[in-house]
Amino acid sequence: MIQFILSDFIRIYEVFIGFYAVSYIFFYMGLSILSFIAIKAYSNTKYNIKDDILIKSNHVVGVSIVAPAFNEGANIVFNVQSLLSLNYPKFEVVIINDGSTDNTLEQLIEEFELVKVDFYYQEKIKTKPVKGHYRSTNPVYSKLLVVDKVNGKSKADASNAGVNSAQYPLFLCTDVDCILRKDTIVKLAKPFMESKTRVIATGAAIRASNSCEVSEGFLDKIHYPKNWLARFQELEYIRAFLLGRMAWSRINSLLLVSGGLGLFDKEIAIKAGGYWHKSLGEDMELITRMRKVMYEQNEDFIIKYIPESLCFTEVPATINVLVRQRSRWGRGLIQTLSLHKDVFFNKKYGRMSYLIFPHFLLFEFMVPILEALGILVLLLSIFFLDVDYNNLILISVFVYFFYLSVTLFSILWDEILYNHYASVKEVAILILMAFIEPFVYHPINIYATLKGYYLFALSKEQKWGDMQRQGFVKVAKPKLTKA
Amino acid sequence: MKTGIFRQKLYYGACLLFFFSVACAYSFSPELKNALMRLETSDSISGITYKVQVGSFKFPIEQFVFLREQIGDNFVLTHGIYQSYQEALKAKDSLQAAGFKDAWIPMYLHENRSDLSEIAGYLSGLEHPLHLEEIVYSDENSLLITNEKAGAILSSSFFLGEGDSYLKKLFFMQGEQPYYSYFLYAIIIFLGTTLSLITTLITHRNTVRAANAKRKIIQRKINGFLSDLILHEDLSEQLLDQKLTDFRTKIPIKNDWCKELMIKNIIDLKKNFKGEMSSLFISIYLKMDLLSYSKNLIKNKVWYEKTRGIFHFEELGYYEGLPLITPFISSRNKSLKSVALIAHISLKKEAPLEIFSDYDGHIDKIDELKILDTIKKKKIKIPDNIQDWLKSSNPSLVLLTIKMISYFNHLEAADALLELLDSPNEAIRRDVIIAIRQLYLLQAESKLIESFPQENIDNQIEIIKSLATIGSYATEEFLEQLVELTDIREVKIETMKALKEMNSLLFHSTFNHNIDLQLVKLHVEDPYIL
Repeated sequence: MIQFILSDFIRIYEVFIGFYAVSYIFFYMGLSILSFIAIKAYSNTKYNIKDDILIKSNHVVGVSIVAPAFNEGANIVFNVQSLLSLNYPKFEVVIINDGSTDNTLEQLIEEFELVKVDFYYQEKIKTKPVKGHYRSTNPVYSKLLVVDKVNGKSKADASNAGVNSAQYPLFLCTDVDCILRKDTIVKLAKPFMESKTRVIATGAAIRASNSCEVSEGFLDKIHYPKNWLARFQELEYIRAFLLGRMAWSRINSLLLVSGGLGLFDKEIAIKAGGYWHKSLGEDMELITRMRKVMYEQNEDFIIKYIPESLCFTEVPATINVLVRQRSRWGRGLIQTLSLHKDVFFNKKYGRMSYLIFPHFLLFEFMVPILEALGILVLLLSIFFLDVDYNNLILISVFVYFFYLSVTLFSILWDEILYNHYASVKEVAILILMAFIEPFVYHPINIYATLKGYYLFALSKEQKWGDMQRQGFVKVAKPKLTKA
Repeated sequence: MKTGIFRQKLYYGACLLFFFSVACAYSFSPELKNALMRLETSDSISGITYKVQVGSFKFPIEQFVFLREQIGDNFVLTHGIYQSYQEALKAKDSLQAAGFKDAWIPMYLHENRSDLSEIAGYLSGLEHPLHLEEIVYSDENSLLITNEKAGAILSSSFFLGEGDSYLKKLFFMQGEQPYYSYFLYAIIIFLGTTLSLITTLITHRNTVRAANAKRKIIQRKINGFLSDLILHEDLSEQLLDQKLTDFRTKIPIKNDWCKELMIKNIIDLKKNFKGEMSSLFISIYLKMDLLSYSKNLIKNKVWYEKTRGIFHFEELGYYEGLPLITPFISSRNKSLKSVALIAHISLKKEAPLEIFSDYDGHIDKIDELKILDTIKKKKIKIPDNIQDWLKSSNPSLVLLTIKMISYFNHLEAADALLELLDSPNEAIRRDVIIAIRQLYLLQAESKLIESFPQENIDNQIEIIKSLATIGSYATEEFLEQLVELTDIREVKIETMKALKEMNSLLFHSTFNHNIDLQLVKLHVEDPYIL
């Protein structure tokens, strides 16, 4: 009897998974095609707008770079120098020292000749108390503003204090350890100036900087990471940014502008209440609320994604840190979906209600659960029922090669567009990583995400991500010696 | 080389490889499939029987409806014993209709469970294997298979080793589940795609490396050649021709990438030189026949190739190219239209801005910047009818005109400009408010104060800035009231700044009654806050 019940259950599961997998495959193939169209359309316009016109104009829209820092003493000076050197005629850099327990603030004060100023601060978004604002006495650093505040246990709280202190109508949110390409602001601000419809946010691709050559906060040469975990993440980033987000951007359905790099309309972000300090996926949550504000205002809007790697960041290099990061992302996803459950199939929220949220629920949230369930079903079948091994092998091989095709396509696309890698060897390693990713890296991800769901269910308190920085490959400067 | 054409070739290459892999997947012979069909159409064959299997389990099942049988480690339940496959098929359909969805037909050779390859081997071993009727396919490409041919096919194709029989079965849809074959085809397609992509990736990387190396060499040659020309003191027409002829033999000028590189170098140099030297670059461009390359780009069907050609003309200041560009100003493609418009303004010698007299396209903020930059660079004169454009029904043109009026310091347009303070368009009103302070239009003071309460915060801030520039006693009075009333941080700060700028008495007070205003004053007075 048990066998018959089990058999029925597995039969139903089979049918469900069959439909699910087919729709998943077709959905992602559709996204790949959309992505291809979007990237092509972007690259076609390169003779249309020359950046130098924007760089020397006085009429561009102002941008405040908001970068929270928590115990970043090791690299803070170089990182701020790097941010200050970006090419844009009207911008400021707002660094938020979120109650660091190391010498982050002291280093900033010393290096940039800062003094405490009488900054008139208004808390448009509620945050932990701000202790003071610092400005440089040296005109060279006139674009720098440092906000010192009480630790709020979240990047969101620190970012909000930065947004409250920002003077320009757009704010670029990044992590202080991110290395931005010099033309980052130009690229991200352009859509705000060229679109007839109001643009409320823009984002761009992020890459792993783990083995890149960096000198004093500036990127000298891009290399494929040497660390195995970082290599997998590089691969994952390429695929997600080039094939996923570009497609969503094409149909104006982007829900995720990375916390590492995103340019936002300050007015709408403040109306939406800023970053939610209890959020674990604050970037996605903010976009959700900004979208809601626009739908409620009944105003057309665009969220755009740029298919260029503008930001380089150090990605987790140990399993523990990776699991912690992915677990936080998992919790962030489930938290956002449950917090905004009113969006589902509520026609007031347009495509967010019938396309974006259902996608995140069905394909982003459900996949780790179904994968775990799949393994369970497989084990039950092996022990209690007759498994059709031929079928199992065929479908597994099919799924594997489908995955490989999609991944390699994104690598090729990346190579043709940007030629990032230094040699055939680096490309070959990337291909090799693609082959072994499903067996080595993917299970870690699934475990971490499920752990995140579990922790969400237990309502565990969240903390600022404490990632041990490995440091960049530093380029030694040639010394001049007397002959 | 990283040019458009090279990329296209790559795409085509990848596509061809992909389709090749698809073609491979479908190019297998259908002979075995035909043989199986013959087996299935026979009434009965000695030694061969069929059953219908309804389930398979790891443990014995207690029930009395179906026959029980052990196959390897599994306990299976079957129904009936049939001589003909068709009979078994009917039974299977009935069982499936009754709810046994997984029911299927296993084959038995001398009452032992067998797979297709064993049965095929048995069949081919018979002296007179089968009395098969001729099978005539009804489609147009009908295939006539005789008894001898069928026997030959069976004997040659079904004698397979253990290892490869399974795959063969899959290829010809003889698997135990028919969809196995579809998965196999899909695997072959994606495997082919995977291999194609790997090959393309490695080839691309190698090609780019080689192309970059070659490009570097050519770049050095171009640098040397152009430097030599620039530094040459007595460069006659004849000498230039001779040098160009020599140089053409040293670089692969027939290749588009080389032409593009050469043009890029000429454009870069032209930006830094003026006068006679500037005409030298145009001469090189023409004598090297790069003009026909640019023209071909403009004539290309693909819009973004056109923009490349237009860009060459614009940057080189090739005025004669204007007739080729002008038609694209009315293009439906926004990007092409924008590029053509800027190039037109840049290249037209007489009244280039006249184009706006009947321009109905949208001019975005970036176009605006480009147009203003071109006006500045080319020292274009103010058009006579500029005021008329302020009345245009195209809001983007009105915005551009306001900025042009400010740039040209065209005070004659003051009245028309002030009328636009009543425009329903917020962006137009904002630009007018900014223009008022740039043109120092004192007469706008009362109107700005009057319209202040109706404006959004951004416009209010601009009004305060303008009032600080043009304001009188009335402004001071207005701002003194405003600073006490407003709650908005930016408005407070801007008002306090304006009061400071106007040297208001209020600014010099201590604000003892209002701590908040004390803080705002401190903010404004701080020398390090901009």
